[in-house]
Amino acid sequence: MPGRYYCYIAGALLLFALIAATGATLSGILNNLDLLADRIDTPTSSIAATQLDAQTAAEKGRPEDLVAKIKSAISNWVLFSTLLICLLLMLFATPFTLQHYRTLNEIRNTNLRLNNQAATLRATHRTIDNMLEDIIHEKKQASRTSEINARLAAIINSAEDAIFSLNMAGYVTTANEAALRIFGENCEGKLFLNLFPSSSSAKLKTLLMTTAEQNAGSTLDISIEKKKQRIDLSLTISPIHSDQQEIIGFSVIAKDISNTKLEEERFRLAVEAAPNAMIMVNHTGDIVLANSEAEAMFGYTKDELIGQPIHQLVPPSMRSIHNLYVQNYFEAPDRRNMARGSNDLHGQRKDGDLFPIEVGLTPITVDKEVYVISSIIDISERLQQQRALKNLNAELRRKNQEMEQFIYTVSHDLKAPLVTIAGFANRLKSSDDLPLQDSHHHKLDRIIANVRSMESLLQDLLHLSRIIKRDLEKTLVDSNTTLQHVLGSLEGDIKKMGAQILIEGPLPNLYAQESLLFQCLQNIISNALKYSKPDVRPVISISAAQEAGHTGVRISDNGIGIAEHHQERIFHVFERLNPDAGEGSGVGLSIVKTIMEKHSGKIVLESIVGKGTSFSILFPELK
Amino acid sequence: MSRYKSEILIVEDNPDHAELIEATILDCEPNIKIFSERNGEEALRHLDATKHLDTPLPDVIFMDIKMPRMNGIETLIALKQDPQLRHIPVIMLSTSTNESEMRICLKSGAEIYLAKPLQASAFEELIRPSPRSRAKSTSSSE
Repeated sequence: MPGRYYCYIAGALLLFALIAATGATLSGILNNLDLLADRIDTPTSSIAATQLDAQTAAEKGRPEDLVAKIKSAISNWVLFSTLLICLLLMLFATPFTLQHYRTLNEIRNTNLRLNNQAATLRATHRTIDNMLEDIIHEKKQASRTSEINARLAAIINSAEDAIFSLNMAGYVTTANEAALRIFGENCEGKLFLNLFPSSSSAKLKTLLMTTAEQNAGSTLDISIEKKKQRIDLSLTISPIHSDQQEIIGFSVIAKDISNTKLEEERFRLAVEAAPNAMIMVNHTGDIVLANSEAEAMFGYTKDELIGQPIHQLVPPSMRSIHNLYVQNYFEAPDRRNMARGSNDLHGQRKDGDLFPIEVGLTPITVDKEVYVISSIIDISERLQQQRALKNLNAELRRKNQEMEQFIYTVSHDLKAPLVTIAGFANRLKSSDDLPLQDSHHHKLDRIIANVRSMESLLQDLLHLSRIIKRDLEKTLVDSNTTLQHVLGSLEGDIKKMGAQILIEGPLPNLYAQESLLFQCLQNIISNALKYSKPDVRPVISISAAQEAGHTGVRISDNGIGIAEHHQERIFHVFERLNPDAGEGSGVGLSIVKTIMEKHSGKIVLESIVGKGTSFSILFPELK
Repeated sequence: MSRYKSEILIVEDNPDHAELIEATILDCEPNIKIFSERNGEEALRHLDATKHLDTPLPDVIFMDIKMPRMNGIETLIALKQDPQLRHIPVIMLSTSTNESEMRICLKSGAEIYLAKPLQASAFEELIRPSPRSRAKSTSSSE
């Protein structure tokens, strides 16, 4: 029990004592006062009172004693009560003082404690400040990280390739959107192997295990079937490490290479379908692709070819230089023929046979790697053909020369006896010392006439052979002038026949050899005169002719015409449809045709029997 | 001076042709002495001999073109290179007349190029005194 309660109890007791003392004192005072009052109230009755007082006084003393008694009682009480009150105050004050002291102490202690606590708090505050700073920093860091994470997630999600993370058990923990797209299902939480057909899951399982064992990434090409469509995937599996460098799972990137595969397949098919041998070589000169033609050409199978150096297909003597060529080519690859201009490239078959080849080179770039596609043609046959053609050409040239010589010789040597025959016949006819009869004259005339016709035939033949033989000397010729010359040369015949010549409009300028144009016009007009209708006046009209890319002259007559089935024949040498029509060798139109062919031009014939004929000679227009 | 008005040399491998040429010439001008040679080589030998024997050279030469051993054009060129012979007019005769042959002949110094057979009219035109040929013939007869 705290000490102050004892004080309170003592105080209460003292209070009671004080009240008791006060009571006792008051009752003593009251008694004395009563006594006093009795003595004072008996002036009239003073005797009685005095008597009584005297009695009482006798009995109790006198009033002065009483007052003194009261006084002393009061002063005693005052003293006593003062003492008591003092005691009481002291008693009451003591616990308060004690309490106060104790409180002070406590306050001091508390202060101390508070100070301590404040110090602690300040320290804590600093710590908290630091922590706050740290937290802010971390928070910033975290927001950055989360931003990076978000970005990474975005990257992963927007990736074309399916990206998975697997745990060690092989379950998919995360998968991106591409995975959903490619596999057509939400893969998360599924066993990765189950995403693939059972046929390939064993292979995949082995791969996962080796990845874990060797702690290194590995790749695998695999195909799946989704919605009845084959998808080719290239898987890249890498281990995921914890901070302690332990493998905690795998990351799998599945790249859809269907298109690449398709392109590869197309490329392979195109190469395979090529009519030439095709061999693809990488920059180290090794064969990476070959088609069936190449197999057939070199006698190796594809398996034997692929991976082998290309120089295996080159004759041994050429191998070192060929390697150098390959090296040089890859330094500056371009599309060209191998060994430009040279004709002595050879390939070597498996059995050692050498054969001439022509090689076209085309560089292609696949995945930043340069390859070269060689297209190889076996030209043995071509060379053989070329040689044969060359020989044939030479022979043809020789034959041509022989032919020309022959024509010349024939014309000359056939003409010589004709000259003799005509000469002697003429002499005989004009000889004075020989009496000739009319019939002799007639016979001699026939001889001479026949010789002339033979001569003109030979002359034409000779002419024809010369046209064929000689080169053209083309100029721009005014055909109006040429026509006038032609008409001049035929003046006699025109007059004789009474022919009418109509020139309709100006004639074009032609790019031709003038003498030959002259010949053409002369032959055609002369024919028109020759093959006129017996009793009709010949009318020959001459006008300009035009056809796509060609321009020329058109000569129409009102002669006997040429039947359709004869129209082709009239251009043949010695062809005379109507020998009765007059003189002529039958070479005239054939010369015209030859001249037009020589000019790369053409001759167009339109004719109706009994109406007339028109010839158009058309020369190519000068560009 | 010989009893002939003039002398003509015919160079022709074909004897028939030679005979005809000769006959045609003689028909027109009977007082002409005619020599005949079978080819260019023989003609040159003949002329060489004539030069050395100091007998008169022919006034005109008629020459075929196509001949064996030495043809007319080769002979013509040889003649025109010889200072003693180059003044003699040469008449070329051809069986197969053609322009290029004619050009070559005239360029090589032939007087004229004629087609066979030699016509009397053509010969007469040659020897009839046109101003130019007369001047020539007088100078040659001197």
